[in-house]
Amino acid sequence: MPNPAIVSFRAQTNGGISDLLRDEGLACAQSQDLLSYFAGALLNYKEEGVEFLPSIVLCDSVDEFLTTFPGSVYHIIGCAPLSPVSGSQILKECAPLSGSNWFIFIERDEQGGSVKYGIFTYFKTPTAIPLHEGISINPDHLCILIRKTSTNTIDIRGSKGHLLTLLFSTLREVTDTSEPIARFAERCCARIDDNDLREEFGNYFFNLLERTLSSCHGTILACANELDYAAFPSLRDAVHVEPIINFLEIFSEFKQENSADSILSLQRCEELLQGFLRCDGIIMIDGSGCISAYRVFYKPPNADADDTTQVVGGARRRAFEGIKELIGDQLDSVLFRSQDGQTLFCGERP
Amino acid sequence: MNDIAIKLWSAPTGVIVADSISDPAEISIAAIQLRGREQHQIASNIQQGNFEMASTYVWTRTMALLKKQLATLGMEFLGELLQRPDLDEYSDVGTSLSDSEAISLARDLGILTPTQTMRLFQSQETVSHFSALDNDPAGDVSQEMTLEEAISCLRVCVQGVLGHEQVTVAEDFKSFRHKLETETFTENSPEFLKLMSSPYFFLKTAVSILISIFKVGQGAQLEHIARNSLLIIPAYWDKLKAPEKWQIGQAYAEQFNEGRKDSVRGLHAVLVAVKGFDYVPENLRSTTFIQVANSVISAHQAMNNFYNEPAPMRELASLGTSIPNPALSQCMTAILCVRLGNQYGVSTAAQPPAEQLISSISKERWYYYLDEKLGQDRIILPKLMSHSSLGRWMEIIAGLELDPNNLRDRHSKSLIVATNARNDARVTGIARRILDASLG
Repeated sequence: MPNPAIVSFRAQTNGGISDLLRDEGLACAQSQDLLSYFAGALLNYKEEGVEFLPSIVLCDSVDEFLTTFPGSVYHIIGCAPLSPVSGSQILKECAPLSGSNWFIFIERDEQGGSVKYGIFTYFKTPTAIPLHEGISINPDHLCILIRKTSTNTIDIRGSKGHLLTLLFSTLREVTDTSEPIARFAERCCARIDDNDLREEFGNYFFNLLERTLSSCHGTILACANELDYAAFPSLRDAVHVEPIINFLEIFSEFKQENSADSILSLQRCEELLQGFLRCDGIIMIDGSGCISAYRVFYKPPNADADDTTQVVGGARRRAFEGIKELIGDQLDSVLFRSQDGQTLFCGERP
Repeated sequence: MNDIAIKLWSAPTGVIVADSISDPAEISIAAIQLRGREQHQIASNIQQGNFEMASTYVWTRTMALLKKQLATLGMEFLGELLQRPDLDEYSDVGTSLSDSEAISLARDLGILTPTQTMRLFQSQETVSHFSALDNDPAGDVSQEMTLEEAISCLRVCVQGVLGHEQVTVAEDFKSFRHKLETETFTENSPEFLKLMSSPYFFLKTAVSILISIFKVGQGAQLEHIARNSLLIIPAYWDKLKAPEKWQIGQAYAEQFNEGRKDSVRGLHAVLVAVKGFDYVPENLRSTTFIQVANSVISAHQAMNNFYNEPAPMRELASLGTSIPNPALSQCMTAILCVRLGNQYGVSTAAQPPAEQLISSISKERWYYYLDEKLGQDRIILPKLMSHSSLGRWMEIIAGLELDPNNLRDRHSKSLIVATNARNDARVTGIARRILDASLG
């Protein structure tokens, strides 16, 4: 009987990580193996049935690394040999503690034989530099960040700016996720008259979308200005948010007052956006950063008029292809995020 | 070390109106920033005995024009110079800058001479005093402004502000600022060398300019400022006082939380070079303290201060007694403003919250203020030259039983020795010397 054929990503993953570490100035086989372990483990890491998406930082000195991040605090959880077998222990003890504000650090000792690990956080307002951008502020200090950015994607980047994206998928279309999100965020601010505010809100909204989409299981976001849902049967099936969620107004209030209340208001809205992203259907945002509707289901114009069945999840890609036709007429632009992390932007009618 | 002129900026020296001239018509005609109609009305009002009306008008116009000229430097930059984070490009210079702040700043920037500054402060007190008087029919006739006071007010306003062309304001200053963001200095650049022998205020101002541009700059502008900062700040780090060091750390934390990565990178390089991360605050709580302390100072320096001080002072006290380090110097100034008052007394309603805060300040924090801030505190130092405020200083500071041996700054040490000995004349003399030294 012939041996079964097995295709493993191990060799490719190890090779990519090895190149990245070399570019970042770290020649350490144990570190490479540990990161390789994390790359696989983070893809679907669960504890008690709950999925965790920890961001893990490997560095030489946690004290030095955290000087970059104002108001940072860390707690040491334990020590372990620098080896891939320690990876499971680190995740077991730290991953349940991590989240959007707490991250995992692993500090290599000087000899490179063992590690100290734990969790850290920093003072993070809604507009603060995110961790994955903050690590490159000090390129002189070795630091490698590994995190899951979508269902099938692991992102590894170093403080010198090198980036490795591991896409555990058989898709042919491999795209940069940041670029389409940035283009879409730009459209969602296009109607803001004040140039400075547009830029500030644009940066914030981009970071927000990038962050929230990384934990989302696929969605479609559409930008539409003064859309009359009643006039367009193809988008009539929608849940309207009344009053609309005015992100721009709340963001402006936060910028002006910078008070605890205004931060909480903004965080409440961010939480609501995460909720919308958990729902099926399209989320409607206008060019002034307002969310007007969610669970908007696209029904192609040629569908049977008496057919009341909704097009739901699974047909997301089909829906995206369909609503692209509405761009320039009812819609301004559309952002598509598949379950496996593929991110596409469409700002013009095909 | 170098032959370059010591001062970066100096006040215009031309005589607009001689001190000996007392004719209101002759003085007002020199007020070239005013329209002819205004010049005539001012002179005729003084001649008719409407001293309060004429002086209040002259004062209001002078301050409005002075503030307008200062605003040409940019409101954000003024905010940096004054350590007022509440000022931004949208702030209205007329309402957000107090008269005292405008005068002090004009002095600092070399627009006014020390004598003009002193006389303008005197005129401000005179005008404020008569503006705040109640309508008391039984009042003393001596509660009226005199001709000499009105003439003095008009003359100094013309000498300092109204008699000068608008465009000449702080040109050197603007040029220095412009070069900082458009050129990369080297160790041999005259601008860099000048700082070495300049009085502390100019170094402090250079730091403020650098930080101000870090906050708004982009692209090449930011690159120049990052390189210039990396040259200037490490070279003078040891000379910088703690409030300026905190200012740099505070800017880093603010820019980080604003998400301005390029600015953060530049400031990070500076902080690495000077090993200054101890001055990066853990949170932005200090911003709130600084904002409220500034509103106390603004209320204190504006008209009707006795009525306007209590609300912001209560707010400052309500923020708690654990004042964050980056905000300490500004809060101390605000509290001392309220406690020392001015020549007419203190705001009674503002005293309880001020006393509550002042009683919570440890001796170590007093030493910090005296060593690091008092030498540059041009709001508090002039108060030590006024009899009534000096009396309250003696009462407050002598009661603290501070040990002068714990102070590093020799001027502050002498001041505390004189205060503990309750030697009024010596305290005033030392305060004047400190004030003069701060501007070289």
